[in-house]
Amino acid sequence: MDRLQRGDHSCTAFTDDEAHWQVLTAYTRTGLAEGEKVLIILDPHDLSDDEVVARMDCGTGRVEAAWDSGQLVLTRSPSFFDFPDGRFDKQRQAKTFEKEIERAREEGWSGLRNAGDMGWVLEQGLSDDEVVDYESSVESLFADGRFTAICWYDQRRFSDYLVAAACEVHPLRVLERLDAIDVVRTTKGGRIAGAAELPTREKFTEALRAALERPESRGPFHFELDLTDLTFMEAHCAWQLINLAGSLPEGSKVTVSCGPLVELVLRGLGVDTVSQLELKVEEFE
Amino acid sequence: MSEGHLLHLDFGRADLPLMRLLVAECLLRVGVNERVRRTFLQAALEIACNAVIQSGGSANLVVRLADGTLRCEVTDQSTGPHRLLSQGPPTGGNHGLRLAEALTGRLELCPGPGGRGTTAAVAVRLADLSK
Repeated sequence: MDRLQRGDHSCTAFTDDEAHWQVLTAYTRTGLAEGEKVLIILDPHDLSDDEVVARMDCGTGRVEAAWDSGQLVLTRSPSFFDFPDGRFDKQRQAKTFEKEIERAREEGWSGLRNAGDMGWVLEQGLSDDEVVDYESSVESLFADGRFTAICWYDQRRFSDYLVAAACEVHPLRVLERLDAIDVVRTTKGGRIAGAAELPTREKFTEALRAALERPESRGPFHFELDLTDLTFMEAHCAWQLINLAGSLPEGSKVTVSCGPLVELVLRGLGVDTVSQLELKVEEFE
Repeated sequence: MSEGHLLHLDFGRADLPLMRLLVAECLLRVGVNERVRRTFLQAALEIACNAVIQSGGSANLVVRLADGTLRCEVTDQSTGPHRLLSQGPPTGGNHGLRLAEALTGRLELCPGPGGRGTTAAVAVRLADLSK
């Protein structure tokens, strides 16, 4: 979530309501802090507006104030979308968003940040192909960076096929939880995305051990570890990486690609004294 | 840049991920630059994580900006204060506190209010970091 930038069109699929609301809270509050208008399109059967605001406010008064001022707008899918004769029309849907983007600009906000429950496509009886086609068709709305969106799919309501297809068609996928870790093997090593912090510490450390521990090999070992989508790394996890790399045979090399925050932590804990570790730092926009 | 009280939260282990985003949000609101945000956020989260581990339960976090200094205080309910850390290579479970001190140059550890628990604080002078 914290790697999202203006102009991103993303989706998220979830089953855990509590984790999902934490993601939405972080997304909404970041937008409000950056001076964007935030438009959240809820399912009619979801929490009440008062409950949503209270949940996101966390007792700070900031989300309440944004709702009062009109910077935060909560709406419901049947009333927000225009379905004349009860029919879905993807071009009319896009026009609805274009109007909202323009309205946000006229009101003086720096952009429009939208999050929407995609449950309305079920109510409208859209086929899986129509949903995918619709998601592809709105891509031009994001071209100038004034519009950012998360389309959310409740996996308990949608087929696995549609969730997979929806995730495929979006340029970005937001992890279901703020404390998620996503581990992927690559041809030259591995990639770990998410946040390495106390709730994910064990999983992160397990992934590192699986990748770097070589109890039966005494020869040099080369591994490329992609941490560019790791948005936070606590000191404990960083130290595990330094320690594991430092225990590899002489001549081994673990090349870590990362952003400036992970670099800050690794350098702060002495990565430069470990010859087996090499950092390749990418500056994000 | 508006000075004063920026954030006050009671939190536990499960709240750490959201708290990370809330601290980042309040730094965004006061307009500190990205480098300061990275440094301060990391240090604040390290002392918060340490508080949860030490106390085994909940803790309290306050972020404020006063006289050009950003300060984060975390108070836990552990049985006593940590000893101030000696210089040397990171060992044991103190990597987080050492990093917080290294990043901000200023880590304070003292008994919590009424002698209960520990208060850990990190602070950065914004003028120093902008150089």
